[in-house]
This record gives sequence, C-alpha cells and structure tokens, in this order.
Amino acid sequence: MTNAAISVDRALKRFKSRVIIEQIHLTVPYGQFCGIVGANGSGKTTLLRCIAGLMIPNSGSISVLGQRLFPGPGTLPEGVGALIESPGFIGNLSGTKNLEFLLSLSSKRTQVDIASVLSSVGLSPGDRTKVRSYSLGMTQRLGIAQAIMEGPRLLLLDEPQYGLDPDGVLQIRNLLSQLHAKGTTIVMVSHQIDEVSALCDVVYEMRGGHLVLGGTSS
Amino acid sequence: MRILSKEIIRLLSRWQFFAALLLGLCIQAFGVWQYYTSFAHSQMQSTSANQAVWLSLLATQIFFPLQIGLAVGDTVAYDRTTGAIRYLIMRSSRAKYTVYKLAGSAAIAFCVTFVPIFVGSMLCAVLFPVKYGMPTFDGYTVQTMHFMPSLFYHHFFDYVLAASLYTSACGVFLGTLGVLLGSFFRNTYLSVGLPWILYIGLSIAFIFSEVPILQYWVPLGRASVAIYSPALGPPWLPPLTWLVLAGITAVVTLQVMARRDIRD
Repeated sequence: MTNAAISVDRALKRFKSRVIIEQIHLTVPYGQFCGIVGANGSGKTTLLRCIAGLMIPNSGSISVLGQRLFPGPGTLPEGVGALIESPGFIGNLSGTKNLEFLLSLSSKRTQVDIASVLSSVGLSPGDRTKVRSYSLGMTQRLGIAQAIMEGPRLLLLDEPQYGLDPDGVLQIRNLLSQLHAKGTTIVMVSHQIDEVSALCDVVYEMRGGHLVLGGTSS
Repeated sequence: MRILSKEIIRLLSRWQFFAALLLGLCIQAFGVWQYYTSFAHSQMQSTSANQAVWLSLLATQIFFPLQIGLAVGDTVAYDRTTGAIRYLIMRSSRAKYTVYKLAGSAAIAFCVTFVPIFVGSMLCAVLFPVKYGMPTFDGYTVQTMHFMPSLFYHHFFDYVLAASLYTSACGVFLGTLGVLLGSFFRNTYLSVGLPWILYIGLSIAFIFSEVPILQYWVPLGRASVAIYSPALGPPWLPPLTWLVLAGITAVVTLQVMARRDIRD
C-alpha cells in the first residue's frame, strides 16, 4: 500500500529483445498534475499503458490508487479515467449511446449527466450522428468525455490535444485546469513541451526508455 | 449479467446478426425447395416431413459455421481494430471482458444456428405432414446412416428439437473459437472465415485420411445429425464433444487474454 496515486517501481517492458522502458521509478502524489514528455518512440505511451493495466511489465511493480496492478491481475480500481492514444468507440452508436454503454460496464452505479459532460468538451448532447461519421477532433473530444464523465480521482491522458482545433485545445486546457483545481490527480503524456509546461506541476522526460525529472512549476 | 446482457443486445443490433439469420433461413428454404421439386411429386418417394428435414439439414451442415462467423466471429477483432477494447478492459477487467465476450458469442451462435434449423424443420412439418412409419429411405440407409431412427419415425418433433440442439452445440464451440482467434488476429476476415475453413478442411482431411480414428471424429459428421451414424457412438457423444471443446477453448482464451498486452 502507498499514499501515492501512482507508484511505479523498477518497471521494465520489452517487446521481444527490444527494451521499451527500463528501471522506471515514478511516484505521483494525490492531487498532482504530472506531465511526461518525450520524442516519438521514447516509451511514454508504453509507460502510460502499463499504468492503465493494458500492458504487462516484464518486471517491477505498479500500484494505482493504493491497489497493486502488477504483479497481479492488472485490474484498474474504481476512480480512474483514461484516454489512451486515439479513442476507440463502437462505430454504429452515437456519442451519447457510446458513453451510456461504457457507463454500464462500471460496477459502481453512478448517476452521470452525459449531456453536461458532452457540453463540457464541446460536443452537442442532442447529436445523433454515429461515431463512425465523427471527425478526428470530435472523436478526441468524445474520448476526453468518457475519461472524465464519472468524476475520476485519477486521470490518465495520452496526447489529449491530438486532432483538436485551437479553440478545442483552449477548451480542454481550461477543463483540465478546473479538474486539477478540484483535486483530481492527472498524468498527461505529450510531445508538446509548451502545453505540458503550462499545465503541469511537475514534468518528466522519457529519454531512451528512462524517466528523468525535467522540472517543476516552482 | 448486466455487462453480458449489454453485449448480447449489442450483437443482436448489428446487421451481421440479421444477415446470419437470413442466411440460415435461406439455406433451410433451399433444402425444402429442393425436396419439393425433386421428390414431393414423385411416385417413387413418399411425401413426408422426414425427407424434407433430412435435405434441409444436409444443406445446413456445410454452411452454418459461416453464419456463426458472420454473426460473432469478429466480436473481439472489431474491438481491437477500433481500439474499443482498451476502454472496455479498463472499465471492467480482462477476465470479465473475456467472459462476457465468450458467453455473448456462445449465446448468439446458438441462436443463429438453432432458430433457422428449428423454423425450417417446422416448415417442413407443415408443408409435408408427417406420415409415421413411411420409409423415407430404404431400411439399410435408415439403420446405418441415420441418427436415432426410432426417434426420427416415432417422435418426429422431438427429433427436430434434438437435431437443432445438436448442431447448435457445434455452433457454440465455433462461436468461442471466433473469440479465441480474435485475440490473435486483428483481421476480422480471418476471425470470421477461419473457423469455417478449419471445419471444412479438417472434415475433408479426416474423411480421406483412411485412418479409422480420424474418420470417427470427422467434424462434419459430428456437427450434423443428418449424416450421423449409430456406429459412431452413443447419441449424447457429439453434443458433449462440442461442449467440452467449447469449454477448453474458453479456458485457453481466458489464459491468452490474461497474458496479452493490449497494444491496439
């Protein structure tokens, strides 16, 4: 057990003989806005996927919200929202129906105002367009909506500004700032250093599979 | 159960489900039509539902794995292609996700196999009223080739129900096989078509192998009661075989999914 929202200890992940992340130590306290930057292929998305329970590290341990993920079943605890790379939805359903479907999968039955969540990311709640007809930016907004809709204590975001127009980037930046102010722990992975620096309390850099401290807001 | 019901509703609302059901009904209709044009007005043959059911089941046995592939074969492959698998697993767990995919696929596979066969058989019973005791084939063929001849002649509706359930048991196995293949292949066509290719390919290989044990376990003969012979063992063996195979496939799928990186 740990007091941190995320605790990664000596995590190593390799695909066949290629090491992707190595000797990763990361502790994210509750309420912190943590940014991870790095070049393409540096391993930042792999690290986020391991924290989200989607990839299984070859060695090391990962705990999220006080619950051991690895070694273990890799099941995320309640209270984690995530946007991992391009969001995937059921194409023949509308955005609202997709969110309803995802909500039904949670064991915790929470009342969620889907309309207000969609509005907060700039999508029209009454829009019945099927997701397969969505633009890249609209899909990304819906991805952010599914991540935040249940009021998560921990938010994992991989390139949340990807595909968004300038207005969308500003809207999402404000939304994340509000969530942070309310005490949500946020981990954001991006290759846009300016964006991460503007929002985050602490910034790490992934370099050749290793995590190094880039700086703090102070 | 809530997750499973959602998955079943999702599968039922797809056009692929209706296409699979329509395909099955068309195959049954083809069997009935073929009987009607070939035998119904012939003085050489008796007019009975028995013959019609026999022909429609023969038509079914070759194509029903394709129906199942169409309805559920891509259930995991589709999630992987769209990336939806990430959100489904993060919101439940790998084990829950796999269980509801397996259970949902098995239920839909059962449905798309059972419904057309049962409807087709009942159609035969209405169009060509049953004449108990009328020889549909010569005595040798009935005794050596036909599944449960006594039930076939004396309790025809029970026979239809048994026939539908036996083929559906194979359908359940093929549905779970589609889920397992989907955990390996993102290509939806492979997950849809491979179970049928395996079914037909192994049947042909086993039939022409001239190895008695392989000929004993020809999938085509085990899946359809129409060509089932009493010499192949007790009548409960084929459905039990398919259900055991479905169980083994489910356990393998759970193990594979528990150890697999979700990179989609």
